[in-house]
Amino acid sequence: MRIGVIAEESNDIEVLYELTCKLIKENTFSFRKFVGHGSGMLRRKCKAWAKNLLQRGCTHLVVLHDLDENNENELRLKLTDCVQNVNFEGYVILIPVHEIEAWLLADAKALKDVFHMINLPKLPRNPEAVKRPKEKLRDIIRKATKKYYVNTIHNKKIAAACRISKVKICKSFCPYPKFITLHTSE
Amino acid sequence: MITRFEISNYRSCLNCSFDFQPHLSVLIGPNSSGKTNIMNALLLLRKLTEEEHYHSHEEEPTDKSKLKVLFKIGEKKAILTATVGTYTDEKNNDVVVSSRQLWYMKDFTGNAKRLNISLFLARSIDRPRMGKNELFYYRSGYYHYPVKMRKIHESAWKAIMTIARFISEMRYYSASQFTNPGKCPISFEIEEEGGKRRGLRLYGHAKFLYDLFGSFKANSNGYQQFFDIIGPSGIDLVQNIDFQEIVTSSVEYSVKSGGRVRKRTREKMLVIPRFTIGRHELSPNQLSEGTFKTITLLFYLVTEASSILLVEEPEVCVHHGLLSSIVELIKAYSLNKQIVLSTHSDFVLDQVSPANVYKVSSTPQQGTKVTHIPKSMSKRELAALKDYLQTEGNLGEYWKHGALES
Repeated sequence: MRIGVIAEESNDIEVLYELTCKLIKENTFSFRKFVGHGSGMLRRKCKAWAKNLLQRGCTHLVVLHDLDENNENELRLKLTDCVQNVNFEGYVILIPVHEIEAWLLADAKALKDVFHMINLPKLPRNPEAVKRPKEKLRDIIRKATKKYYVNTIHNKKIAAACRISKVKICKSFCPYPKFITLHTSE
Repeated sequence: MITRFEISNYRSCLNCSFDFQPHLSVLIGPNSSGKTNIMNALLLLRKLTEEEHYHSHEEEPTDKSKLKVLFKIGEKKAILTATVGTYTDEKNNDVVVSSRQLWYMKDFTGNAKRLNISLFLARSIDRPRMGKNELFYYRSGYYHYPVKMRKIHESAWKAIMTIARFISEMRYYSASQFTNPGKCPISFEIEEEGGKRRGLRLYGHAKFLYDLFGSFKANSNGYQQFFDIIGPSGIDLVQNIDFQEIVTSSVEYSVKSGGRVRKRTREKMLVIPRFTIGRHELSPNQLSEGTFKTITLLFYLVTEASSILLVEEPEVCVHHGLLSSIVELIKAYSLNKQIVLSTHSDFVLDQVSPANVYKVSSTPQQGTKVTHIPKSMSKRELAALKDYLQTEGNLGEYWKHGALES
């Protein structure tokens, strides 16, 4: 299964990759990608990139765009408009609330293991209610370990340590396991 | 020209091969992937033309590397396999301790028998500026070789000498050589001895000034072209370059046996370079880093009669408008010499074709690997890339946004 992924940052794709490895075997899928380095470029180029990914042999498409301060319905509509006419076997648009780091705030054990904490950190019950999950992560890690959290370095490691059952408490993540299950059982 | 270069057991290049483009080859890849090591391996090849086991009595080699190079002369090919023993000195330079060089010259000799000839020997005999005595020494050295050496096919011998000259003319430019022009000397001295002028212990910034002065004095076509490019009729980086020359002399006395006093007059020339930018006359140490680097790169690109030029990161400290001109010049001059360029700039990549681009990557198990972009793609992926370049964007953008990575 060759999955095309369009995301804002490289480390978003790395997180998605690690989580996908927990849903299906690593040797059953591969990613081809485009990274926007920002939401503006992603929105501008989304249609062209989707077309290119199809041409490169991708059968399925994932578009990953943080909600940030946007209106979710409007954002989803814009992104759907870019990709719906490109002939993928299936596509899914994931809009993490408010940032993808909310998914990484779901599993306390993952943070404990990656940062070698002594105790389990106390995490918000609803990570998606946190307005700035990246900063929240930074503060939790700094407080517990005195270490610096850098999203481009650590997100991938945290995702690799996460349990899917915990990440599923983030509603914005839930469409993805369903998408993968649906299209790998075909 | 070089068509293929294989490196084994050299720094991160455990077993690495690289098929050169005839004109311009562009290396891209993350930091520490081995791009500089590939360039250093090529420079190691050049070292083999410069000395022969000079340091063999000083130290044992810490590394034994193998270089295999395919050359093309006209329609014929020659293959050099060199096993080189080196150690790395405190300045991270390779010091050659030993080497064994074998040539496969079937296209010239008609047989597959390997010839054992060092690049240093071939270069020494071919060296144009050798004095009469030196030439006699080397030639007589050649004539004293075992008789069978004299049975080398003449066309094979000529080809090897051509290749040795080609390799010896390899030049290297790196942005890191010319950082901080503040350290550049304001002037330099040239000493005249025995009818020859030579720089006194010059390297780095000072060596560039010496080379620039030499070219200026010779008023060669190359220098004219160089100034046409950087001056008011070109990119207008500087309005004028000139040199103030002050001749000084000093007298030395030495006493010989018998009380004879020998008087020796040494003439030295103090050279003071001046660069005019706008209304200001500046010393070299007053130039900005970007200006200094651009002038040096363009000088060596345009004036040096190099056969093969290695350029690392021409984009450092250079504005994108000027960088565009630099890349166009590199492409133009690559028609006359092989150029290998490494870059981190998507802007540079925007201006070259995918056929020129090589991805350099490294893993702990396999070391540095080089992949030609078009060859690394399936037909479908290559067609998608071509379509993207025609309709949507540039190669640099394609690379920057992750599409060249698997």
